[in-house]
Amino acid sequence: MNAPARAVLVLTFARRGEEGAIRAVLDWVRQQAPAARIVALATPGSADPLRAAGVEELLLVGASPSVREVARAVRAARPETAVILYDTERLSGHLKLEVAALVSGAGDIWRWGPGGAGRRVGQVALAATAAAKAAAAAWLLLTGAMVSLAAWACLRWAEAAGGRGARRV
Amino acid sequence: MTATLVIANYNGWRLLADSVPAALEAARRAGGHTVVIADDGSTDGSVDFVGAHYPDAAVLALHHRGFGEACNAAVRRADGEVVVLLNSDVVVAPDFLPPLLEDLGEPDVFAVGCRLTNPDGTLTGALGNRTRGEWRGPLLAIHHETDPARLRETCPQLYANGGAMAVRRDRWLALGGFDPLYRPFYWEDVDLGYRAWARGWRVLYEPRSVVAHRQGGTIARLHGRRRAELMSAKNGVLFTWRNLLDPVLLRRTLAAQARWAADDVLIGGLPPRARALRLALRQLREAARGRARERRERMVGDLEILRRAAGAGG
Repeated sequence: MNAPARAVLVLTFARRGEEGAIRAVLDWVRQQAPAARIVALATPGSADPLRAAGVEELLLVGASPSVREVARAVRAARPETAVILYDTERLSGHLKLEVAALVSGAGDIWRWGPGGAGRRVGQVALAATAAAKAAAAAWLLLTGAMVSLAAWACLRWAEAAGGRGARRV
Repeated sequence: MTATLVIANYNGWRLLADSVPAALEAARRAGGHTVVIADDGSTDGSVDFVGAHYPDAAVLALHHRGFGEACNAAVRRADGEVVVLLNSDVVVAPDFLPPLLEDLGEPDVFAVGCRLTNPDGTLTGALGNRTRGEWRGPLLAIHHETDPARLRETCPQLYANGGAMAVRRDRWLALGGFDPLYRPFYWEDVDLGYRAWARGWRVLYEPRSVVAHRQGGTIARLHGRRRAELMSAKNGVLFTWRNLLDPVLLRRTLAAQARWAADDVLIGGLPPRARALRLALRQLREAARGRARERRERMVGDLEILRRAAGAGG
């Protein structure tokens, strides 16, 4: 990120307690590109922490936005650079943010880990990571569905076997 | 009414140095009440410490079986009509007891929760004040009121924080106390309050009874944040399986739980959701047994419970 960027998109889930990490990213971005306009994708829940951390412009989406909604919001900002803020050393999870970075159209994508250092990542490498994570998500979805199905069957059976005579208001 | 103040302790002798004398002073001021330390098999010398420094406090030395079981054992053996459960990291105000006894004198009140503040008296981030619930997403979403303006009056709440609650002993025993399904910790107090509302009883919030609580002090220190969040998520799932009888809400919640596992990758962070679901699955039959009993004894529907607990009458 040597040249000043027109817009830098900061992508974070902005969990409670992450304000310090967000500020560190913002400081780094301002150092690297002093003229940059810093924007961040925000849900109703994450808007306040992002504002508190000093983000100037928020791209507001719904509480559980679709990929289309996210894509529309981030493309409208026309970012040249995207920075993904992770809260895990191994850069696990965060698939939603990686997809947002990929669909944003930013030519320059950086990953920011808990160690407080930015690392550039190529679009192809990030897409490969995202694809692997998508496969893992599909597997977890299947696992979750099996657990829920087992629970539903077992609970229905238990109610049928021993739950007669209930009164309801 | 006579009360037994029970301080549940596990390897927290340093915390007892603050909490026991405060409880003894409160019991003395209110007159005729006793203090018991329910020690859950501590290995840090807690029992000896209490014996040496606080001869007025009785000690119930138990084998280590977790918070819920320690409380159950203590309530079974308590001699008061009212039992006040206190965590070892809770320091009570000297005059906290009379308002609790006054509230429990009402015929349909099951339990009363205290006003829980931070050690400096503030409410920022404090958990357990005027609790409300909403069936949303994979778990029962719980709201803890932190606005002091809304915490001035005695009012209904979903559950009383197990770290500072007063309960009528006979009703506790009728409900079976904390369900061991939720071992080792978390959600047992939510479950108990929910089941009390389901029987037609009330749970109240009492702002006049002030206690200072080091939020998450003991569990986070002993078990680490990751394990604490894992257990909370696991027990949140089990709570759903055990108590959510409304068929439409159950289907919706189970579908959300299925999607929830994928959030480990889509979002990441804590809790580890897929692992929580797998751990819960191991206790599915136990949850189903509790559910069958709940179905037999339930008098109030799931949505009505939350409506009444939010103060909407009933």
